Amino acid sequence: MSGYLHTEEALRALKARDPETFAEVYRQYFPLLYATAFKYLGDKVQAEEVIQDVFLRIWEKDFQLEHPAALKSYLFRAVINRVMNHFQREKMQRHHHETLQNLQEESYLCNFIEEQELRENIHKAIEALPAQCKRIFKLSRFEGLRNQQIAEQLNLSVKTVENQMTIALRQLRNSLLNDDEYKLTPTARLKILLFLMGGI
Amino acid sequence: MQPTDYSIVLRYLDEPDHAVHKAEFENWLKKSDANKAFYEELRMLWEQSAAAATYEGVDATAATERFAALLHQHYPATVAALPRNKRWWRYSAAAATIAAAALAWWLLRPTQVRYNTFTTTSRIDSLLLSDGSKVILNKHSSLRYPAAFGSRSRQVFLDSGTAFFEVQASAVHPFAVTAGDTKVSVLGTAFNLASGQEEIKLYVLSGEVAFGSNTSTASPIRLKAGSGASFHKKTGQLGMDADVDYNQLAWRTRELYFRDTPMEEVCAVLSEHYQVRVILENDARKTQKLNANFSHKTIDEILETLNALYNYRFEKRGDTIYIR
Repeated sequence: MSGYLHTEEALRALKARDPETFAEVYRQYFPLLYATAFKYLGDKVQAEEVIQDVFLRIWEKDFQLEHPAALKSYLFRAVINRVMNHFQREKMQRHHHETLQNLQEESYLCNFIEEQELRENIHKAIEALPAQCKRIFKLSRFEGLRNQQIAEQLNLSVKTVENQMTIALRQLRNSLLNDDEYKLTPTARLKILLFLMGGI
Repeated sequence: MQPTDYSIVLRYLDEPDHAVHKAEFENWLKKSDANKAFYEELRMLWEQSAAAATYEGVDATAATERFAALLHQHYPATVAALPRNKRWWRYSAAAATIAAAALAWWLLRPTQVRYNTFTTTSRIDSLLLSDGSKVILNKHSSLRYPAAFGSRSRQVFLDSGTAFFEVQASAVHPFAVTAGDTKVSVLGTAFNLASGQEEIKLYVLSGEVAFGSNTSTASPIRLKAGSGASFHKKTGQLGMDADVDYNQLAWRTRELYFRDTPMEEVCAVLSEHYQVRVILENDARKTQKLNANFSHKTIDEILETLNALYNYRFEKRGDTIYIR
């Protein structure tokens, strides 16, 4: 994985239409935007087409944004609008209508973006776990298996599974909540925690 | 925080209903505010890491190369060549060759179909079919499938229960699921099929499927993504669902959605998903509406939320929960 572009650089790359850096911005934002489109569309091909469409439009028009900070919310808005258009075209007005309508509001969108970024970072942190630890943690969290079931499936003791789960959670907590490796500012962290604790 | 703190919280998150672990956790939680804050952090990581599964298998590099190719196709003059390396193309060409060889082998091999049975008891399990399609089978369900698919079609049987299908796309080999007297035929899509005592319910998540009945001469209904249909076993009626029940997928996503849902229906949904009996005792509250989303919550957490927000009181007697 190559270097991470700062928002200002990303914005410059989009404006300049240099294929190399343009693709770099695409690669950087793809997982977040794709996960968002997929969440509502439930279709991998359609979700990817939405992202391609958003970036094709940016390429085509004279791209202007006043504040670099607005880039992320601009991209998310563009994706969400296209998802809504898709549902309207397919005569599926009621589909996720309320949630998508809420996301038009800046405060909702902000929380939504933060939550998506957190999930992407958690996924990166899970990928960085040692092999066995990662396997066990994924069986627990992605497949929804209990420790007992994981122990049976992998022919391990429950104690071993618990130990590996502890290692995984400690590493996730250290890298996501204690370091700034993933560029989560303390305020962002606090906001996420408050948002998640308040939400039902 | 010490490893024991992690263990206490982990054991509780893993099995919130386990009496010993729960008591141990509650004692520990009461000890200090630091413990409470620590628990909130771990709970957040626990819940959000389940949601992080969306990022599993997302290949940004391959996607970027597809986009670069698209850009080149639209603007061959401006974007002269692929800006990224061409690794992806090489891989896909190799994959296409292998796929063609596999297809030829598959078409030419003798067709003697033997069926395997895949049955679940107390837990959800998944199965990868020989064509790469994925089946996630709910508890107490049974699926019959060939060890390898024949040359004509891909046929499986949902003999009982509920299953979610993610069908590998193939333009030449339709994928068919038979459940009782109904048949779902698809080319490549994801859908949920529940074969119950009284009805067989279908919900399509992506792509398009045809849903038909063996006992009726009427032509199958075509269903697009986001729509559902039901077949009533007694009457033999097959029709589109006017309102899609998003909670059909809850057994797999562990997310429940209530939108202006009358409490009586909420109780029925909770009973089904948590395999307990939830009875609303207060007749006056039966028509009260609930708007809420619950993601990865235990039944106790949901009841506590209902209590805190709407003042519902509940009481557990045996495996029945009474709500007032």
